[in-house]
Amino acid sequence: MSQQTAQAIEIAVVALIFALMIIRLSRRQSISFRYTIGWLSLCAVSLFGSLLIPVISPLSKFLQIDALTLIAAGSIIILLAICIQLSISISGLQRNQQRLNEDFAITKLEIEKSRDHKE
Amino acid sequence: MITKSEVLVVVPALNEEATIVQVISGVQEEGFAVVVVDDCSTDLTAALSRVAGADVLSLPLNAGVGGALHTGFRFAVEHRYKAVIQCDADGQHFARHLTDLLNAANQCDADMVIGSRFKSEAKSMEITTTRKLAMNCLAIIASRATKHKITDSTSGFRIITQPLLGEFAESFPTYYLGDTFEAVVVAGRAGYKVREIGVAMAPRVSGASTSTSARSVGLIAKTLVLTIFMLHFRIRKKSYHG
Repeated sequence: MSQQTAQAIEIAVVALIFALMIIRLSRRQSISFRYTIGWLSLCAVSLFGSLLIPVISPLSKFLQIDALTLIAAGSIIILLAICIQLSISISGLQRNQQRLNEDFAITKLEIEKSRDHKE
Repeated sequence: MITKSEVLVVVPALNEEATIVQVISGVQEEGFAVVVVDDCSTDLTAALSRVAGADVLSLPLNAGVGGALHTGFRFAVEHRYKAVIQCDADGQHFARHLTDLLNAANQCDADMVIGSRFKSEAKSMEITTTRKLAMNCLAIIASRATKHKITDSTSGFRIITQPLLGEFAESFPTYYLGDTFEAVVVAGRAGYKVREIGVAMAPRVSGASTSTSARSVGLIAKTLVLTIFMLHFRIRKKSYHG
């Protein structure tokens, strides 16, 4: 077994374990379906990428990058995309939370005032 | 011409039970309506404010000064106030200057008038050299944006009139310095008239300032990024309102 094949198998095993972990978390509703898809895509790139080293080899030769480095680069790009998506989601949640926070305070005061007015 | 009855004084407060009653009394004696925005205090700030006769907006989650101010702005717009005066709850701002801010806004027809600690003849504040340097840096940027000499862009004592108040009620930053310096720069760049008057300020009676020397250095870097890349929040230009 060549060193490259051994590395590909190791990456595939890690990707598979990671994918199983994500599926388990998703079944427990700890991660929403939207993010499950993102993480599983990352696993898929690592898993199939490592198994398809012979197919990737011509491209890696053309780009003058090692095949495994190319797979790692692909995974990092997907990771970054997930991080950006998460940042967008968190920013939106923060805005919504702030709006709810303010609405609650204003509505509460209006209710208190109308109750005082009735009394 | 805006009258006192058309102005709402917004006081963001977080654990200010030692000073809040005195602040509210001062505002009421000057003849202004007051709303305290309680930013999730764990002490008696909200209860004491209600007893003192102020309306209290109680935020269930801590939103920071900017978030508390935004809540006050929205409340003011919903109740058709023509202007808002921001005033700290720690007793540093003298109530007698509230009328000065209103008079200045009326005289200059300004959209925002800032109460400057550095324009007053009375030396009212002692600050560290690093912080002074940071404040000067911000003042230069704010002056360029507003095309008017600004000496204290981080002062939290200011009057904001319509239509700028309506814009801030729609969009206002909640992070550190966004509610003070950035609001000035954004207003200036959008064509709103920003002016300053000198005011005296008292030393803090209780609590501690959120600005430290280390933070001052950090804010210069943040501000430069914000200004160079125009990352600040957006409001409609003054020309939009006619």
